[in-house]
Amino acid sequence: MNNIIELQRVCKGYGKGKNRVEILQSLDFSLKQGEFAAIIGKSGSGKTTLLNILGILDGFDSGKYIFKGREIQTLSEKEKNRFRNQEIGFVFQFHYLLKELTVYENIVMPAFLKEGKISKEAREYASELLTEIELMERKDYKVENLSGGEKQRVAIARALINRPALILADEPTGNLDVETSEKIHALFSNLVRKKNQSVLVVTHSVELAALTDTQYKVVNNKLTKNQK
Amino acid sequence: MKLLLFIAFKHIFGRKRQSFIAILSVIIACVVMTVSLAISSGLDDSMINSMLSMMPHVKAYNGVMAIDNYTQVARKIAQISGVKSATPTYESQGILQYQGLQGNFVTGVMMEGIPMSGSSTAFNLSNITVSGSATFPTMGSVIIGKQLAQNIGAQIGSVVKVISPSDQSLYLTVSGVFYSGYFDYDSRAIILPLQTMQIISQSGDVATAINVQLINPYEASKIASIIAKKTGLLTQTWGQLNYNLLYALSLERTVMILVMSLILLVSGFVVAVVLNTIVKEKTRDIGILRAYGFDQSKVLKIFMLEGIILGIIGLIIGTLLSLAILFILKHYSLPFLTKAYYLVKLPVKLTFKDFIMTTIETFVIIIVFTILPAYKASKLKVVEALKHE
Ligand SMILES: Nc1ncnc2c1ncn2[C@@H]1O[C@H](COP(=O)(O)OP(=O)(O)OP(=O)(O)O)[C@@H](O)[C@H]1O
Ligand SMILES: [Mg+2]
Repeated sequence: MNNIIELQRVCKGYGKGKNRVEILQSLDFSLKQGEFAAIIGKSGSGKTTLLNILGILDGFDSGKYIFKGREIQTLSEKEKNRFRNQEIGFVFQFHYLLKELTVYENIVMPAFLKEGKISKEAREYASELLTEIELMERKDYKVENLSGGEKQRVAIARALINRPALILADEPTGNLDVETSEKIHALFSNLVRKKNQSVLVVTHSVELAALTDTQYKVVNNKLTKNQK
Repeated sequence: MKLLLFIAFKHIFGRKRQSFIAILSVIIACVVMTVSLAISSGLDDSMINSMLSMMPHVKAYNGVMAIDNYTQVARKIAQISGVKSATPTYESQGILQYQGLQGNFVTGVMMEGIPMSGSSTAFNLSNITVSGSATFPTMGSVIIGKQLAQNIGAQIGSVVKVISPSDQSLYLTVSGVFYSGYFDYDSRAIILPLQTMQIISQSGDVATAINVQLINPYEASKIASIIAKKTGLLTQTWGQLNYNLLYALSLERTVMILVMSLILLVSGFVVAVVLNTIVKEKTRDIGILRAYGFDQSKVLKIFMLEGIILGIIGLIIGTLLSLAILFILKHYSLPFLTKAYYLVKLPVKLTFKDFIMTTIETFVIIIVFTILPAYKASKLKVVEALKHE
């Protein structure tokens, strides 16, 4: 059983003194290599907060976060940057593409940040991903001109380009219509099965959750596993 | 680095209007600074040059006493290396009266008596005489400034009456008119033969001073001390003689540079405001880049680069524009400008020092004003930046 990430008794709250609110309390969580998991929960329950911690975008108050055997809290800023760049792929609720760049440029951006250039390997993988998201012929479009669903597909390809161990998606279809969402769901589960990466997705979509291996729910500042 | 530059340019071109305003403000500051410095240097220079063309570079005198063996002393001084000429003079205030076609004029003048031979070198007369002769044809001749001649309506051949402090008067014929470009001289000085001067001053055969012209006026203090040592006379250099004027000029320049620097500060503010706008607008993009592993120092560099690019574009255009403006000022006379001054053309002089100073100062100010927004951008929290609308 190989845990790619593991949270041990992690606590996180916001504010100070009287305004203090605890969001996550003594939370344990782990994800295996190749596991596809979903987190559901009420709005404001702390799903995004959890994802930000896992994505090393935000810190936490106490507990341990172990990523591929390394304790994240002990890493320097530089190493954290390297982890985010090479080991994690992000898909946000809104596509968050860089609007000045083309479809292709957006996809290879993380690879460029990694190596300072775009290697042959990254180029080939980008083509492969472009085919998979069915946007090969839109490769040189400015992303502004794409539809919402297309943009989100580009964002997914961007999350995959560096072949990260972990992909974090925060309501990736929260903003799309049902039909487009279904397409994205299919894309997600296909990609995951094929590439054996670990995926954690926050979603309100029953359909997407149904495709996953494991489902968690945030209740009372903790995660509970939903039995299938 | 290429990536950083790329992003920086994207931001600048994505915000054409703001960037244009930032560049424009740098251009304006640069042009105002360069052009006014060049004009002020030019004016100072032309004033000093016309002063130097006529005024003694070193004056040797015997306290309140007159110099009686002035011919020997002058000869002695003339032998010192670096000295172009040494002329005994008798200097005194006086009154000039002229009854011309336009009426009767009376005006206070500065009378300078110089030997009839060698007069052309004394006040550089051979170079600045614009009509008539640079030497005295007779003992009853006088050479006057162009402005004075115009003021009283006198011409070559006009007869003027000169009255000395000891209340002696003489009629003299205007034999030459000089134009030094230095208003004070051109409107107040009259030059007459030394002997004539001695007569109306009732002074006997003496001089009040030896006027020394140098090959290089900027060696004045060095040569002045040699003269003092060799002759035992007191000396004053042109710098000392005009201390107030030169001090005022340099003070004026310092104040001007300070005021100009305020304009630069304003342009620095504009650049900072524009960068701030860009940072705000790009906050989410910064968040995305940071989420994908971009480090803070690179974010800092991007925005520093943007400020520097805006500054450099402004500086280049500003410098070219300044040079163009200075070229026009130098080669075309602008009546509305030159009327106000005592000049035919506006003199301009852009020294390398001024140019470098302006460039460096602009650059430093731009960088200082770029650091804050850039630092702010680099310190953005990733999570907050991503939330930014
Ligand atoms: N920076 C912050 N400062 C203070 N409180 C915060 C901050 N960020 C989040 N919170 C609070 O923490 C709680 C959890 O927020 P979070 O965004 O994790 O919820 P969520 O489960 O993702 O909700 P949603 O489904 O609406 O996206 C909320 O009550 C929110 O108001
Ligand atoms: Mg959320």
